[in-house]
Amino acid sequence: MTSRPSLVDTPPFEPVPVALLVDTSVLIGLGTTGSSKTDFIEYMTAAEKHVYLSPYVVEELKTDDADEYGVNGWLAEAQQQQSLEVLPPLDEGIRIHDAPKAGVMMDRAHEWLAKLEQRERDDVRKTDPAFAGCFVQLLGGYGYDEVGLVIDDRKAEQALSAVITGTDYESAVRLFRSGEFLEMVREFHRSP
Amino acid sequence: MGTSQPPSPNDRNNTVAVAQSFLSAAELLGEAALARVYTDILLNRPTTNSAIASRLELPASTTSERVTRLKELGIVHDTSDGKANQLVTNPIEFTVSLSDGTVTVTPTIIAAYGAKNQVDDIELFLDRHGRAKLVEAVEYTIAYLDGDLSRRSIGVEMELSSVEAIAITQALEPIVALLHTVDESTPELAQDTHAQNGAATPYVVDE
Repeated sequence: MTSRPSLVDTPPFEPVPVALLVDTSVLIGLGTTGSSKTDFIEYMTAAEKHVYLSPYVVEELKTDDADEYGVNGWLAEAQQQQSLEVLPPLDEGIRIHDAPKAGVMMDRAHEWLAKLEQRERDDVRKTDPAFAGCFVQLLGGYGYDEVGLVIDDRKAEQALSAVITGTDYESAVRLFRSGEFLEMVREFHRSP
Repeated sequence: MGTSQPPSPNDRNNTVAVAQSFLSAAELLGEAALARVYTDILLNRPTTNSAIASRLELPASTTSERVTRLKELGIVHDTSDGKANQLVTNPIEFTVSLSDGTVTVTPTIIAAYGAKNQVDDIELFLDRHGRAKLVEAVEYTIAYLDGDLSRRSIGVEMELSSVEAIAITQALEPIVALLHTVDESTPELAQDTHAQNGAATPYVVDE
């Protein structure tokens, strides 16, 4: 059985970073309607978190399939909710001090994921690797001390953890598994 | 040049029995409601009509009708001896070979199809792509849980958008995890499936 990659957090998660990237895999799990989605949005507001959607996630949410599977409503939420924001295209040159640039981190993650999956790099879509660049963008361009990513994909988390570990970003990036994170959100609502 | 021998009486009996099993099992992939009841019995054997009705939230008459149909097909057997009925079944597995490859139909595939009317994303996927593609989706979900591929790379392999690949693998994941205990064709999975067990599946396993 595979072990948990080093950057993947283990519950309890508190304190959770203020800046959180959320993957399409989480949004699909939450759906467009229902208590899970409402609980998630209320948690973000009440706990003063700021959720970011990467440009690649946004592209996925704009597709016809997103409409069919009822997940495109999150784009409307991004326009209405102050705690939900779409990230601008990646500034590939941004970095912190002498650490690798955002574009380099994304590139490395792409390479890693292809290697882990034993596939040609061109056959690996960029949404997962792009999170490595988004971490740098949020840390370097938005002034956050710490950022998190909520995702439901074991292979992607493995690649992202591997490329961040050992860089200057290691202590500032945390990965959360969707199921565990949403359990924390439910717990938040249950607590008095 | 080889000499072909006529089948012996034993072989002929086996051929008929195997063909009958194959045809009966194929019926399950044509009727989701039957596949669901078969899966429930497989997961909870031995069991009774009333227990099935309770787990699947079906009227007693509907349950009885479907169990009778499964018995007629020779898939489910009643082993009771005067007491409450004790329904049992076995994991069904058959391989179809064609010139361009083989496919094995397994209890997990039957369970996935049986979830059609209970899991929206499976129903939508079946409406858009049909049963053959669902078989492929089950195989790739096993590959995901075994740590081979990311969900998006499954999309590349299956020629699906990322959204659809994520949605169908997430929908199938708890079913694969649940059936893992009774489906011997599923390999040992690299990923801990404990968290998915029973989550968001239309199946219940009695303690």
